Amino acid sequence: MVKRLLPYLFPLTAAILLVVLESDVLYALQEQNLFLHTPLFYEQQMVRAGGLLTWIGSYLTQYFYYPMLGAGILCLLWAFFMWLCKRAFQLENTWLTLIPVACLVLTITTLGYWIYYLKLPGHAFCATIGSIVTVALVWGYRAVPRRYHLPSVYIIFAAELGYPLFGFYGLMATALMALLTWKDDKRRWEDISLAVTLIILWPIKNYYFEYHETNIVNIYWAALPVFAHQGARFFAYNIPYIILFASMVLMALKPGIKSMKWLNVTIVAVVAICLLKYWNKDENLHRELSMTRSVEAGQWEKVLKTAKGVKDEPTRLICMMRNLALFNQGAKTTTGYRDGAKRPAAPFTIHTVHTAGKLLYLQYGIPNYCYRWCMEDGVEYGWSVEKLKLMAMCSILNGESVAAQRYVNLLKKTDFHKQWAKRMEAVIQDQRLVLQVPEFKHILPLLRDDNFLTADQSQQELFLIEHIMSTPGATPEQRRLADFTMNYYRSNHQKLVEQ
Amino acid sequence: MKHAFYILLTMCLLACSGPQVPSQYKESQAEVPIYPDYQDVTVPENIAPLNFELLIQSDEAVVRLSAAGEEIVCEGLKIRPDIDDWKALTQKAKGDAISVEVFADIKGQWIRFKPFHIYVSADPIDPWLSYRLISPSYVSYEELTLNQRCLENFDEEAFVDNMLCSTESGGQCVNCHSYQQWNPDRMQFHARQTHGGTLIAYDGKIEKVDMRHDSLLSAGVYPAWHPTEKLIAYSTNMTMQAFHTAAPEKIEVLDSESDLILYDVDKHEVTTIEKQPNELEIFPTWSPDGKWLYFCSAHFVYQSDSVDRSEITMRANEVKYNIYRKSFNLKTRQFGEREMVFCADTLGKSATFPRLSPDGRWLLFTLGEWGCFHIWHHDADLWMKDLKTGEVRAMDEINSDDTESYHSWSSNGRWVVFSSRRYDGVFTRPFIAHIDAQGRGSKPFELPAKDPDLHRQFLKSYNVPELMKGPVKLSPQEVASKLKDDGKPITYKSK
Repeated sequence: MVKRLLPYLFPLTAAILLVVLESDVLYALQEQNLFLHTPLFYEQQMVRAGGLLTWIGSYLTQYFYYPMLGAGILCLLWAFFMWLCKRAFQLENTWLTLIPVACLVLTITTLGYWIYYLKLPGHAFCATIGSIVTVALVWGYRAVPRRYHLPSVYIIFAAELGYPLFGFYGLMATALMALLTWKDDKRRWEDISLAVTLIILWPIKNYYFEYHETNIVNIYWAALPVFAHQGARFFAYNIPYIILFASMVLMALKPGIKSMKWLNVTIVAVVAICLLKYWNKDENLHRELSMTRSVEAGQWEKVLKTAKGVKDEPTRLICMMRNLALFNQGAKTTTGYRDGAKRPAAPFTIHTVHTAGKLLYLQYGIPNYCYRWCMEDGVEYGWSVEKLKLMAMCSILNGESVAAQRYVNLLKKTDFHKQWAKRMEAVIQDQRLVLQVPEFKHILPLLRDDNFLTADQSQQELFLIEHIMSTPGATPEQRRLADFTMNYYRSNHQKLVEQ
Repeated sequence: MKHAFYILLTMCLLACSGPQVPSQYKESQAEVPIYPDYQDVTVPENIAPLNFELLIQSDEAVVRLSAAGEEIVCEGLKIRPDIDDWKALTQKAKGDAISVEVFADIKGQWIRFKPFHIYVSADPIDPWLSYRLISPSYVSYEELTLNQRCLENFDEEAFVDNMLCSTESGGQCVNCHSYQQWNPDRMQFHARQTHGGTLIAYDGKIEKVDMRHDSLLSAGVYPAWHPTEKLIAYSTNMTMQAFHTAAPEKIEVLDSESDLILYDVDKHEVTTIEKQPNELEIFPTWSPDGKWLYFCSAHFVYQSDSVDRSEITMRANEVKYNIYRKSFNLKTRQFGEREMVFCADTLGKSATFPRLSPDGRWLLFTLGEWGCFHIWHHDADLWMKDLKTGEVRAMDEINSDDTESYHSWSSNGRWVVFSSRRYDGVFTRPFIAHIDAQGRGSKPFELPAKDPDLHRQFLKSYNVPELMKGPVKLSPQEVASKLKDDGKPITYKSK
């Protein structure tokens, strides 16, 4: 019994590692996610193939608000997936299922800065839920009696329902059914051709008659994340997905692989090495995420503690958050902290306005620019809890109470941000409370009435420094904040331009 | 067993009997807060049900809508009358009003709020409305659709979807849809960036045109179909954006240069209408007889030697547009000299989006403090000029404290639809107002939605609302397929 359960320790270990090492990443995933308990939110997901999957994915991503809870759910789902694989593919060796589960873990741990840029809602859970659905549909197919053309009917059912609701995963299930039929009984060519026909034609039919939000070139990949940015595609991030689907094919074709000690040890070793090698260990990103969380919570000591621990050259975002913390703590210099401008470890240029820069615009007392980038990114990369919160705060500071109420009303429809929304609602109803809200305490002295028509060209820090230093209306507090960067700015201007 | 059957039967009958107006209640003179605000609005007889939400804390609520002996009783906080019952009611109330009584159970006591009316005009409205659904973003865009909505019910569909032409390496923006004389079979819109060009559909023939030319500032931008000829006037614009650091407007879109051109649909030929030095011409529109072209123009002299984008950005609030017109000879296709129609800059204001009523008497336009991008200006209001008497006035009966901007007339000239940000200052919603023979507007109503709360949750704006006599018969896939073709080049003919 214990021996049989041994493989299930793997998802448990992976979940524990996620909580220990990636707590800030998991928290950031839910901050970049949005799930609303409204019919409109559901309808907006269902206008694309795979809509139900993204709806479920978005729902479950919320639980990363408590990273342990979210990771616990993932752990249970991975264990269930392993159990399901064993049943559906009639596996003799459960250890084989470690391969797809490791891929599922990697779909989260390799993301890095993609957490800000991926456009697929609920992507952290989509691969896991989608894979479960795929295997469950295959299991159902196996269970269908082989008479009265029931297998054919089931294939039609699986493709016709699977694709609209789960996108690619529905097609994958249909493909696995064709594969199993081919393996078990080659005479049933009609089921094989039916499955192949449905895989090819059903997305096309849906393109012309059901959905109008997906380019025809992308219809077969519905509900899979697209790793593309600034016109370039980054194929490497798809590898965990490819191995995941390949492992399903392997399990379907070779279920009889016996459980042998050397094989099981090899699987565990390979999986462990892959996880170790490809797990994103970018220290700067982890520090940025941790500091962002601390800035949101007003934990300035923690921000400085995290900044102090920087071993490598820090990114400008780390320096900006540190400077803000030093300013808020009344410090005079940045002595004792490492300065730098290391480019974020991503395969494309990262602009701070797309990451924590929105929060920093607010903290630097320019709510209009924070609001602007929330809107821009909300449109391009999808709405998120973080953006709605920031937009609500910007609207409150700008005196736009109806707009603020709109964002607060939406946040009241979430599971974990209701209390925050209710707190802000009280401020909207009584503007005098603004002075008592901890989130606004340090921002209020930095707010300015003078207006300039300008643009940041996505170069946030450069813009902030030049705006503060070149405009006469800058408050002494703003100048004091800008002073923290001035030394670095004077000697590293070009580095800032390149950011 | 027998008793149980009767109890069940009674329960079923009670459940099927429908909501009842309470027999005992306390009268209140307070107006009931509702969203959208449909109190005392005037609606066309062919409008979809005006679903609304009661913004009260109540355990139970009943609403009675009645007119000429006909009544509908609804219960709950979201009032959604059955569409057939609503149609019957509006027919009875045509030329008169529907009385709306709201009863609410507040802390165990039924209260009847002060009743209000929904006036039903006998003037019908064109049955379809098209608009672009766009998030009120600044430079980014992702999902953009041109949608059409049947105003007689809640049917809505997209007929253009930019995502069908967008790829990871390049997005597509769609904008400026417009129709010749409210005719959905004669329409045009632009696509920018990936597969960019102007798509022109005319009586079943669809053509993609590439209007870029060395002699022009840009491809056609703001369009105006000639009412009878296969001609479209456009502005060409060198457009840019800048962002306010503190002002509530947040964004400014302005032109460093702009001209007017005329496009001949059959000949694929472009000629220049207006290209005056130190003038920024924009927003062409034709008079209903097609003999006049109205447009806006701002006089702006650069202090630097040439066009300087940073200078106009710095001096953006000096850019003030007036409304002009030029005569047009249908035979020779020649334009006359410009004539002033409304001089906004002497009032220190800027006038945009001139639109003439189908009878040619009323000129409706947007007036703001400065610039041409009034959709983001909270001070922008609708104004009307009586071209018969010359009287100009603010349409106070239509305007709100927030933005009113893009507007268009119905084909019978009795309704206008316009964009307004009156509810939250951020998201534009279409509002419809009745205009009587004296040019007076009635209280406008927001586009009715199936779920009355829709517009408070929906994070997109309704852009460029245009009324149509019927639906556009193109599908998004058909449009996408056409857009993927190369655009037909134009020829430029200097005057």
